[in-house]
Parts: sequence; structure tokens; C-alpha cells
Amino acid sequence: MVINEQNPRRTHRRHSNRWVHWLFLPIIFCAILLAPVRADTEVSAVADLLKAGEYLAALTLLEDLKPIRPCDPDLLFLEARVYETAGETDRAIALYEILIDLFPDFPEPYNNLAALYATLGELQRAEALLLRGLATHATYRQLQRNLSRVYVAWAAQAYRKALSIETPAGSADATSLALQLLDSETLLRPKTKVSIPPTSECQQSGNTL
Amino acid sequence: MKPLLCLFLALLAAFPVAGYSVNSASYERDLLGALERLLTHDQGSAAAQLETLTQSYPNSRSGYLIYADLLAARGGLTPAIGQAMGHLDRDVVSELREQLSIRWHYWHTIRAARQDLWPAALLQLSGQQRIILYMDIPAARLIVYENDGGQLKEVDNFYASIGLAGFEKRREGDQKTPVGVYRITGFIPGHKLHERYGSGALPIDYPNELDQIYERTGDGIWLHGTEPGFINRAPRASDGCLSLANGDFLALHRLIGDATSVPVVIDPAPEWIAPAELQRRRERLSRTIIRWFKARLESDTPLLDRLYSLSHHDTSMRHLSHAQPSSSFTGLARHLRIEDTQLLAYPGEERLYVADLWLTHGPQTKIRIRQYWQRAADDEWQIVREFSIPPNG
Repeated sequence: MVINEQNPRRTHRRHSNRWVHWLFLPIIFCAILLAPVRADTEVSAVADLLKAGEYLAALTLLEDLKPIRPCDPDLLFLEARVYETAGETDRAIALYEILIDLFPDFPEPYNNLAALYATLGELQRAEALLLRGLATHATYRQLQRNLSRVYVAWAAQAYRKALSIETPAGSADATSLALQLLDSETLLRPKTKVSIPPTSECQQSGNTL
Repeated sequence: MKPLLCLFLALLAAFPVAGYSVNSASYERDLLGALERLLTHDQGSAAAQLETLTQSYPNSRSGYLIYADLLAARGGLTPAIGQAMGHLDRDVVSELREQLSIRWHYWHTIRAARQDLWPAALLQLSGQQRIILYMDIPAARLIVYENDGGQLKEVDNFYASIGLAGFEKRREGDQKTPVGVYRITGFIPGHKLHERYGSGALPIDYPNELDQIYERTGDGIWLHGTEPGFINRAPRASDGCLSLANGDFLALHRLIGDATSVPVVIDPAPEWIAPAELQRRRERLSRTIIRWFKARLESDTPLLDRLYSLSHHDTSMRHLSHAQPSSSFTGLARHLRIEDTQLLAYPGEERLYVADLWLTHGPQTKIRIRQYWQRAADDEWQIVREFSIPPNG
């Protein structure tokens, strides 16, 4: 339960999907058969196919799963990953953009889309996406900011040393650095759940692909 | 009207005046300002300032270095400036480190330590010299002083590079900057020169009389601008010239204006003293010069013998011994007077001073004499060389 508390998105989905297991058992069965390795869920089945480089099989399975779980962020994410690894960059980008639109609190698509833009040399877009990804969670953002502060303080130290600049007498210790603390507000903040949009919206976005 | 004016101003800003438009004073201020932001961990405004700086000054290697290091640091990479430490070979980063360090220290430590002090070398300015240049080699600064009624007044200062091999030029091709008292002999505009001299050149009179006695060779020592692609070079980068940023060179040329024979004192070990001490030293030498002048007028042979012969055989001055009076005052004596004096310590030589004297005898006759005076340990002064100079030389 503790784990579920920390990852509300998964909790949500598990509850909503429980009936699917019963109604669409044959399809699940097929999916397990198609997967070359053991597969507990649809998601890991696709993930395994992807790892094995079986892009076509992964896509076929995803196509089969789409009607059952039309608006599943994990499946959409995996589909984007399949396109990405298969070299279909444009389709992957389009799908990641849809994912970000639909599930703004889902951090992974920001990262992967940033990676794609970075390979295309669009560094400013990549940077903006990574910052937005970090902004999905106040804690990530704070950790990143503090880490960056530590690194920049090291850079400042390197400059002081390299240019023989003494630390001004006022500051107590050249090596000390005040990092920003996380306060109780981040704890009290309601944990945002990924809002699953109405099916029609997903269908629509799916059609645009 | 207003939108039109704005458009005009925007166009003006978008197309800077062709050529050397870098305003170096603001460049250095911006560069050191951004560095200070980084040192105080204010990474947000440091990054913003560095972005603007590198856009405004696309040749600023120092700006790009700090910017690159800041961005690298944010991502957890080691700053390049740290990696350059301890390298023996002179790579790009170490040269930029030296330049940044010397610029920073000039504005943050050196200048503060010199508040209300003056270069001991500049004892007395001639009334005819409106301007004098003082090159402080350790601080890599060329300081421009104006003669404000006999008092020094700093009007500007510029970062300047010296020879790749340092200073104390001895022979042709040694890539060293001469040390001593020189004079600017002319001006060559940039378009008449190879592009590596930048916005122009102000040649100086190396080798001067003293250098010639010492048989020092080489010529073509100039104050000049910077080659294309650079704002400034490293503190030691030239073949012996003093090299300034192109914008700084033009500013210097404007300050000099139509002044001729502007003295350039190139000092490897500047001494900075209080005005009272400067006054004391000036009077000490002035009194001696007045004694010499009286002795000349009165043909006081015993005193002249003492003043003109080097009784203390200082090895460093052996070449300069046995100075002879340069011109005869016979017949002029009665009405001759010292109209003007310039007294400068001669850097790089121990207790050596150069005195320029303008003597007049009525409105027509002008005599100009340059004397090299040496102060012996027991505070006795002697003339080690004396030259007669054309009045406008």
C-alpha cells in the first residue's frame, strides 16, 4: 500500500482495469503467447518485445490492446518508444507531444521527447522540455535546483582558485553553501493523479497519427 | 514621430558602426560583472549576463569560457578553467585564465591598494606635455595621465599585452617589451597596416639614447590595436609591442589628439607613493639640477667636475660614465633660465632619472637638454649622460 500511495497513477489504473482481465481474457492469452518471454501484464509484454527488437510484433500487440485500453498512458508511451527505436522519429515526436498534452503530470514523455529534439540539434526545445518534466514534481525540481547549485558553487570555487581570488572576508566559509530546503508544503500538496481523458479524445488523437 | 524615432534608434542599435566599435570599458565591466555573479553563486543572472555578453562581443573568448563553464557546471561537468590548472604548456584556457585574473585583480585589489597614491616614476611633468602614458607591466595596464597644472590626473586606463617573452628588450627578435622612458614618434592608421595591428599604431622611439649606449637592437616597437578575431590578447602575446583592444587604441589615440612626443614610461616594477613623498623626491632632484645650472652659469669647475664624473664606479652604469657637458653656455649665461622641466625615474635602472630641460634666452634662443642623473647611495647626484636635443624633438 505504501508503494501505491507513492505512485497514484498506477493505483488508479489497476482499479479501472480489473474487469478487463476477465472480459478480454482470450486477447491477453494471445498476447502472452506472442511474447517470447514471460509476461505478467500487457505493458511488460510490449516492453519485452521492444527490448528484443521485435518492433513489428510489439506494434501488432499494441494495435490489439488499443481497443481494450484506449487511453492508457503506458501503452501510448510504449508505442512512442517503438517508433523511436524503429527510427520513425516524426511519429514518435507526434505521439510524445500528444502524451504530454493528455498527461501533463507524466514525466517520462518530456524526457524522451527532449532526447529526440536533442539528437535533432534543437537544444533549446530539449532544455524547455526537461525543465517542464522536472516541474511535474516539486521535489524533482528542488533536487535538480539544489544539485545545480552545488555544481555551480564548485565552478565558482574553481574560478576563485584558477584566478587566485580570495573569498571575501565577510563570508564565513568558502566551502559552505546554503541549499534550499523542502518544507512541509510539498508534503501537504495533493498528489496529482493523471487524469484519464475521455476515450473520444484519445481516439481522436490516435486518429491523427 | 515617436515610433519613427524608436525605429531609427533600433536600427542604429542593430547596425553598430562598421569597424572597431567595441567599447572596451563597458566590455571589461560586463565581463567582470558576470564573473562576479558566478563567484557569488548567482547563476541565474550570471547566465543572463554571459548570454548578452557573448552576443554583444562575439570575439570574447573569456566570456565564452565563463559561459561554457557555468553551463557545464549546471550539468555536473568539471569547469574547463579548473582543468587548465597546472598545465605547463600555454594552452588557450591558461592564457584566458591569466587575462581574467589580471583584469579582476586590477579592479578588485590593485586599484584599491593604490588609492591616493601616484607612480613614483612620474616625478614632474613638463608644462608642455598635456599627456603622459604609464605602462604598469605587472598589472597589464596602460594608464593615461593628464597634466592638470603640474598635477597628475588619471583620465583612462586600458588592459594591454606585452611581449610573448616578457620585458627588458635587449636584441632584435627577442619578443620582449623594452623597459624605460620612451616617446611616441607618430601615428599610423589601421588601414595602412597589416590587419594584425588592428585599429592603428603609435610607434615609440626604441632604441633610445640609453638603449643605443647599451647596444640594444631591434626596432618597430609600437603601441597598437589587436588582430581580427580577438578583443584582447593574453598578458604576454606580442613581439614586444604594447597591444590594446582596438576600441581602446582608438580611445587612446583620441586622448592623445595632436600632442607630440608623448612620453611613455614602461615600468616592470611600479612603485606607488603618497603625493607628499613624490613632492619630496621631486624637490631633491630639482635642487640638484638648480645647483648644476648655477655651476654651469658660473663655470664652477670643481662642482661641475663632481657632477659630471662618476666617482662611484657602479658596474651597472659603467657604459654611461664620463658624461661631458653637451653644449656651451658661453655668452648666453647672463640671461639664460630654465623654462620648463620634466623629471622621470628611469624604470629598469637603479636610481637613474631622466631630466628634460627647456632653457631659454630671450624669445629666440631655446636650448633643450636631456640629462641622465644617477643618485649614489650617499644621496650624491651625478650626471651620467647629457644630450642636446632639438627643441621640438
